[in-house]
Amino acid sequence: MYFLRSNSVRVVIAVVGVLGALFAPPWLPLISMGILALRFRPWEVFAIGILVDFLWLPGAFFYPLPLFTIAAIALVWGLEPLRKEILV
Amino acid sequence: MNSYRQSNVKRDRRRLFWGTALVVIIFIIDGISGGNLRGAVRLGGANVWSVGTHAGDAIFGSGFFSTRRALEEENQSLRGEISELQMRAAAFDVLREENAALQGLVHLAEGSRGITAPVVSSFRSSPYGTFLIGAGTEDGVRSGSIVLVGDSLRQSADGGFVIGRIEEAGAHTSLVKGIFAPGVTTDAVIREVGISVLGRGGGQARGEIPREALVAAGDPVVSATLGGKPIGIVGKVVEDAGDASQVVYIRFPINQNEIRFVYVLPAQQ
Repeated sequence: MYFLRSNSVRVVIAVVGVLGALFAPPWLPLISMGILALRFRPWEVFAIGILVDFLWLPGAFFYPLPLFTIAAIALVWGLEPLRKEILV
Repeated sequence: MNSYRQSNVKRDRRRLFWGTALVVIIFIIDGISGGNLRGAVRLGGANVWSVGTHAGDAIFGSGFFSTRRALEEENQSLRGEISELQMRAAAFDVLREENAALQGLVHLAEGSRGITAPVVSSFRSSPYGTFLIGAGTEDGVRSGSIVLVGDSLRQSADGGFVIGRIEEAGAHTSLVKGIFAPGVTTDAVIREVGISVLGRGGGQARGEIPREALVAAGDPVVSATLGGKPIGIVGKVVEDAGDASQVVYIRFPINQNEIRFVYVLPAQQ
């Protein structure tokens, strides 16, 4: 039951992040990415980061820098030690 | 139990590692394909945006939320009739707003050759000061084209304000970089005084001019690099007694959230 509830929360936050990338100010997907990265080991954070950069960032081959994708990688790997401590 | 957890953690971390590698691969594929992947993402995003905004207009324009209590007090047959009429009124309002937006562009179309394109994204969603329009290379849009906005209430003598430049043109959608996007610098002139305008996002910018220059709120800001067209108006001038220059705050005269259509000039103009 806890697993289901936890997964539902994860899906809801991910959906909020994806829709936020389209409809909301950029801080909403960023916060979604942060919450997901704190609570789970989420590949969705990469998807949201890429979505934001592919939608709004001009250029290719990492110039200008895809800040949201970099933030996604930093969040996922930077918070790994903390997750290792708090996740059951 | 511990070994079970550890194997789960290892599996998750392996997934994340491959996810990270996939991110890099996706960017490389997109770069090699000339931005085809991001073009597809933008087209999908524009479609979702259009569907979302139309659904939002229909729901909120119908008055479903605002008059629900009142409607519940009426009998069943009248409720249905009213709902239908409200839906029609909402659709009429949408058409009227579109018509007003297009009327603002009529004088632009008369003065120069270009195309009218709908705005198919939010102005506030992009962290990079960009937005999407529903026209691309198949409609004659090219990178570097100037994007104008007309206003039926505040028409400038030069015909519309420049809101941005086409940064990337896909087949059916194009990415526009706002003139006042954060960090974007544009050379401009206010009352024959040259100024370097630094964008701050949200349709606002700032710059510095000599203290002696006579500039006041409401003065138009014109850019020679953008065909001599206006890019904004002076919102406020702040003068510090101990400073050799005065700070000019510039704003875009039209509420960006109300912009439905833009006018794209060919790149060479």
